[in-house]
Amino acid sequence: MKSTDDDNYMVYHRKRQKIKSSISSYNQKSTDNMLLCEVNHAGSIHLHRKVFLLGKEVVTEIDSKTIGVKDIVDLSHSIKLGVNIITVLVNNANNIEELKELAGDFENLKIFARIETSEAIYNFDSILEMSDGIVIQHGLLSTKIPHEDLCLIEMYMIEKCKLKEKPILLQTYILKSMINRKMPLTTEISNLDSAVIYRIK
Amino acid sequence: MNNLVNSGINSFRVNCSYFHYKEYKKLLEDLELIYQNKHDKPTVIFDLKGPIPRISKVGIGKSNYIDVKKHQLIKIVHENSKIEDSDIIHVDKKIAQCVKVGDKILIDSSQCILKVISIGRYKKRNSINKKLGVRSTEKINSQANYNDTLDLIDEFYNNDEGSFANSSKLFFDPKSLEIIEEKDEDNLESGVYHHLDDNVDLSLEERLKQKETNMRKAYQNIIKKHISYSEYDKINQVERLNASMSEESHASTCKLYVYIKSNNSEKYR
Repeated sequence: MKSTDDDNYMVYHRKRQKIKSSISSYNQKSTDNMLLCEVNHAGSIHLHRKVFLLGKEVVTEIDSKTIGVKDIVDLSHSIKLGVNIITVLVNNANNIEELKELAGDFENLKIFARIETSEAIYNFDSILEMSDGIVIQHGLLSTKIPHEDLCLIEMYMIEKCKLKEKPILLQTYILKSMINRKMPLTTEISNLDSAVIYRIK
Repeated sequence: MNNLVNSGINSFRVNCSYFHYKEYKKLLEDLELIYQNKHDKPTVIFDLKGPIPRISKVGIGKSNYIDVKKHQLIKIVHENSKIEDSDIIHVDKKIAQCVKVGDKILIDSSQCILKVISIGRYKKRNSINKKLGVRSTEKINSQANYNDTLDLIDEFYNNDEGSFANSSKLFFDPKSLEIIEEKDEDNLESGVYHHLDDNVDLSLEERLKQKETNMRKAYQNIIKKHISYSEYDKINQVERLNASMSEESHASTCKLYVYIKSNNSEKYR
């Protein structure tokens, strides 16, 4: 071993000690790219699943555009394949305008607004006017809004859609328990009942 | 698909985030074949991916999912960082910037809940070596290991509490990270520890080998005295993950870390 190598080791050590001290302080920096997490609720983590924060809007905090590159590619393919309906996550009415411009003059293609964020709930009226229909993400909304308010907000959205005569879809895990069971849970049956009563498509 | 159509289903929803173009094209072609002789045509709904971050890679290789247990530690990394570990999740967007310590991360609408313990930065090992102007990565890492462990042992050796007088049957294997019972008592005799600086005449390689043997003997005493086995597994896991967040991010360095626990307080490196 040469003496220069030993010097290098010293430099290496000093640098590492600096980084260790910076990590221990947990200061948030723009260069941070790794999170260390502890599992609070056990389960299985699958590919392509959504990641979001409890009570926070990740989309607005990252400043990412609602229509990404893959969305545009999928949109062009879906027009070629003759797809009837496209659902897209929307925060405000401008997002739908953008998508309609991208889609061009295709009367057969209908664009439904997928409501997953609290910002979309705030801008619901303007979104409803621009879109051909509404999709409510029941599971995701329950993480953004207090549970006691969720039912009222969904009722409001359904009633508005009925007044405007626009279709509304409720996207939720209905009868998911039947993957492992022969009979559905009673709560799932009551979910289905309420969907029929409120005439959700 | 035939059975579904025959049972009365007339609309299909495709989630684009799960599929590639070729895959959903096949699906639609199959649907066309099924509906050839029928009057009605099905309605097809496409869900565009959207901006919400998703899990792009899980664990090692091409695994589709990992099962996690309560209190297990998991790293969430941006997609571009090339790390492969059994307890690592790659996400396609940088969520580290909008997260604080203590926040709760939900995966797939509360199927799994994670709590953020710390936020850090991962840096590639090669970039450090480039700065240092050293080509071989192994040399640095091996030396770093030994320096670390030597410091640790020196610290313990100088400490009043630490003494290697008592022999034990336990043996810590740094490769498998397990504590093994050793039947050979000859290797575990008391007072084997030599300070390496005393052997000046030996070459560096021989000294390093000697260090390794001495280290093992030191570990077995430290572990037996101060750390219970169940605790050790937990602590070791924390340390491994914390260490990989720092610049070296090297598994073998992390394996050699040991916590020293005194009577009432915890001293650790």
